[in-house]
Amino acid sequence: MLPKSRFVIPPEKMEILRQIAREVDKAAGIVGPPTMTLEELKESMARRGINPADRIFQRELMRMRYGDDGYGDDEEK
Amino acid sequence: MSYILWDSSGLGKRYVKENGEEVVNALFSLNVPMASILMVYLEVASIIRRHRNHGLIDETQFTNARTYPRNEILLNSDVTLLEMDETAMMASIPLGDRHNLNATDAIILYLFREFARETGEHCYIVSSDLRLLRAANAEGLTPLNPETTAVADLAHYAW
Repeated sequence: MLPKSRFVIPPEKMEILRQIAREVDKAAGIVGPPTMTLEELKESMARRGINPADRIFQRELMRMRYGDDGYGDDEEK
Repeated sequence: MSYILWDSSGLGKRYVKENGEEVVNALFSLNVPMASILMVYLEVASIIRRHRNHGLIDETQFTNARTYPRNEILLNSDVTLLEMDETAMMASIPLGDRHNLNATDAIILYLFREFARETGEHCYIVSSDLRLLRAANAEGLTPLNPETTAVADLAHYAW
C-alpha cells in the first residue's frame, strides 16, 4: 500500500515515468541487465584509479548545488 | 515503522566508489521501506554522466552505473518516489531562508519533512551534505551520514 502523502507519485504516473526512462535509456544505449555486479562495478572503478576518499560524487554534487561556495558546504567553513 | 529517505549524496555512494558505500549497501539490505524524490534520481543520473564525460569512468562503467539506479529506484515499485509540484516549490522557500539552503536542498527537505509528518513515520534522511543534515535534524528528521556512521552502528537504530 502506498504511504499516505500528497507528494507520493501515483502508480499510473509512475508507469508513464518508467516508460519514459526506458525510452531515454534505450536512446542512450543503456539497454538490458547490468553486465557486472555492483561490487564488480566498484572494483573496476578502483582499478581505474577512483579513490573513495576523493568523494568524486559528493564533490560534483556540491559543485552543482552550491556553485560559488565551491565544494564547501559539505565541510564546515 | 521507519523510512529511509535518500538524498543524492547518500544514494550516489551506491553506484560510485566513495567513502560511506558500505553503510549505504547495508541500508539497502535492511528491508526497511525507502523513499526518495524524482529530482534525486535525476541528480544521480546527471553526475554519473558527468563522470563519464570527464573520463573518470568508461562506457561500460557508465552503462552499469546508470542501469542500477534505474532498476533499484525508478523501476522498483517498493521504493516510494515523491514529486515536487508548484505548491511544494513555493512552500519550500521559508525552509531555504531559515537554514540558508539552496533551492534544491530546500525542496528536498520540504518534501521529506512533509512526508514524515503526513505518514507519521520515523524517517531517516541519508545524506553527506552537512548543511542539509543540520537543517533536516532541526526539522524533525533523523540525520544519517554514511560517511560518519559505522555499519555496526546501524543495529542500534530504531528501524
